[in-house]
Amino acid sequence: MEEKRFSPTESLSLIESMIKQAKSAERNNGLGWILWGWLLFGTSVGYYMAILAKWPYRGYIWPAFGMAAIALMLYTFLGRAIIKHNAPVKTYTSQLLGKLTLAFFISLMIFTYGNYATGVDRNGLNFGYLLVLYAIWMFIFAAAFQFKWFYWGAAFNWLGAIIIFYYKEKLGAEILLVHAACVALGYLIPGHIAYYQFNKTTAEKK
Amino acid sequence: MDFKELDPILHSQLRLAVISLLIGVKEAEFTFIKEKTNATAGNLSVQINKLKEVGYIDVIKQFKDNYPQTICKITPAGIKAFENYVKALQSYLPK
Repeated sequence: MEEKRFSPTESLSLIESMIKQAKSAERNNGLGWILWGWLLFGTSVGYYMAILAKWPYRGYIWPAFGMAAIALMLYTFLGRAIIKHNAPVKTYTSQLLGKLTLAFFISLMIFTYGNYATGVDRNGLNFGYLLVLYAIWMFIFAAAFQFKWFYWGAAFNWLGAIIIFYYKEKLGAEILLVHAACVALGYLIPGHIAYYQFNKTTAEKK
Repeated sequence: MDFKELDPILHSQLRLAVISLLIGVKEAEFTFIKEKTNATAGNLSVQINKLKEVGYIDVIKQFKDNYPQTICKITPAGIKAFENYVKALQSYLPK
């Protein structure tokens, strides 16, 4: 960019263009959704298969998932705190979404603990409430990044919650499969699309 | 018609581009600003120093993986100057 004097109209155009450039820095690479999605999907399907096979140690599957989720959370947030300025640009949106993700994980862990501590979830209905929680999280990300696939992800999670609540008597252990399907449609597919688009855009810039 | 005076620090293409970029983010690396403004490293460095001298931006120099890293962040004075600049620009535009 040459150093020159310019007209007020050119000034306004430049300001607008630079604000758009800054806005374009707000992109999501989808990796978090993919990691979290596969973790949830694998645990749901794994637990369902363990029930079918009457595996005696299946009671350890969800606590193991909880440990993995905590490890993932610690890796994400401590990693950010230790490795300073990892990204070439920090936006207010990314900062806000980072805090939202932390709040989501804390809420999720308390929710899961409450489930175990109170023992109120005898028929898997809590998966419905969890899907509602996932949907809120995904909807906010969709709005922040203007990424339509995350809206679809939120919609699938809401739909899954309705299915679980409506068919609660008939579903039984199959609630786990509904949960897994919602995670696949709501997290994994949008996450992989975001990952693909992020890498494509990054490669085009090089 | 009453034309307001434009801040000479901001009424320069590259400096205005830098400030306009920083107004929308919390902070940005030198390399990011260089990429978005298509400026040369030398010219950008000079203009960033000018913005820093007048207190419109903060510049943090540090090391990341043994490489020098320059991070720029707009200051409250920079935000105010930008707002005033935009207000002044409006007086030049046909109503």
